[in-house]
Amino acid sequence: MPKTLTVCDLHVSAGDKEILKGIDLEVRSGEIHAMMGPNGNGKSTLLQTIMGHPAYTVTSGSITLDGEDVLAMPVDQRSRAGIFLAMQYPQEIAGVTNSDFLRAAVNARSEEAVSVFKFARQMDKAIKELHMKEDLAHRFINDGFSGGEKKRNEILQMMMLKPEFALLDEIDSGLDIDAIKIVADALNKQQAETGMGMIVISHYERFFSLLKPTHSHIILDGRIVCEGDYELVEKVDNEGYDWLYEELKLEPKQLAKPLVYSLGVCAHNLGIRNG
Amino acid sequence: MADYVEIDNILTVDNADSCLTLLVSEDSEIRYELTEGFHEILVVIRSEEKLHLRESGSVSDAELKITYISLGSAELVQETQIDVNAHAKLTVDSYYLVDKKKSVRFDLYNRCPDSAVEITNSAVCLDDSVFELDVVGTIVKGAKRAKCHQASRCLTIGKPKKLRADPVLKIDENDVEASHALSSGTIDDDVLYYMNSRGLTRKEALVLLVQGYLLPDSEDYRQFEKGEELLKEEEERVERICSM
Repeated sequence: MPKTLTVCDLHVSAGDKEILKGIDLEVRSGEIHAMMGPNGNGKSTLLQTIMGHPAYTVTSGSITLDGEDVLAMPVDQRSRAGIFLAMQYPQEIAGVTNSDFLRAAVNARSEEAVSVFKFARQMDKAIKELHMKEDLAHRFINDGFSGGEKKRNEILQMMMLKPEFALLDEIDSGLDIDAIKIVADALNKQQAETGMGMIVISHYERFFSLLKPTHSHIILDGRIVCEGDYELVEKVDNEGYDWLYEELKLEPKQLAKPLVYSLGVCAHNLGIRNG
Repeated sequence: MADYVEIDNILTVDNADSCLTLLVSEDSEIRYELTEGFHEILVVIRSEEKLHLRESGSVSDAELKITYISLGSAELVQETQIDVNAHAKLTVDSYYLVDKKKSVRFDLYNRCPDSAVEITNSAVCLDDSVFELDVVGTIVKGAKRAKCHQASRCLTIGKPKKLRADPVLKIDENDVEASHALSSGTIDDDVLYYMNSRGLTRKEALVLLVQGYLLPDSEDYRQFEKGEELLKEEEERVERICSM
């Protein structure tokens, strides 16, 4: 049964700072939405807010999944309702193996506990499809993983949990050329099998060319300022965002420079601002 | 004391290598004197009532690896003193889940040259719990080339009433190797968010994290009689306590 994820006039703050300033978005099963835009304009905030990250406060607007109020759900319930976020920076959790974690997650969304053998078979299959190391199941979650392994592990989790909507936050960053193809193939296969909808953040046309988004959006300064189809992805790849800044008479955002501190002697923080 | 376990008598007669499982469920006293071979002891402490465990041992020209697991909900007082003599090696691993009150003291003595002690303690302290851990390593004068290394780590979940961990080294010899380390902290909110985002409730996530933090790999305890079975039961015990 096709489902719809709807974001309506969404305003989101982190602390005192408003990051999203009225986002409207509708994603249906089977659709792939490319989410583009320069860094620091709210793309990741949008996905994290849909998932329910506690650092972000929704000040107004709504998010619904087939009419159900997503904002009223705790994070775990959103996941069990069918939302999956493949994170840009997946957590490392020493002490908990991938298989224990995933089996608990699979069991959390089914009435009957999945048999150990069935689970192991499914996991082995997914590991092979993603060309991951065979011992992955027994390794601790992302502990000592390379950047690319972490990203593939996110996709492996998605394959095991079979969400209705997958939110992919720069899942292609850290992947080598072969791995990008492997991940894109896995996503396409999963979508063909389950009909899931996707919101995909990426800076690279190459990744989008493998997924062929049905819709594309550009976020600038917390708003979706431009929408289109795959042609928009190609335009951004060829021309960047300058044309859009000109059209909208906006100035590119200056990202805050990180402060450089000297720890001084014996870790005494001298707090010297360098530049 | 209700139980008196002379481990010498339980080990094989010729005092060769041995592997022993001790299930302690009431006030007990353990004493042993090991003089050769490689010995492993798994001490599983379980009781629904307050329990006092006293232990005194000595190891000479032998190696002892001893593991303590106390994940029960009863109050525990544990006092362990082990003398490590010439050419002896002692390795201690301990695991405590504290939901009421536990007071644990290790007095470990490097008595002779070329003696080695290595102790690692892990504890998870839950809401309203009290945990006191004293680890005192003493290297006596003349114990040249002795080694004594301590590491303790405590994870808090909620707000324990009291958490005190004192790693102490008393060194009366120059030619030694010694270290002590202590860390304590709580679970990172981002880790919980990550686990929640895969559909696990806070409690389900905590069970996995505590099991991962506290329980040693059961495959490492296959050689113990009922070792795997006991660890499986401890895993279920953690699940029960953390789900409350």
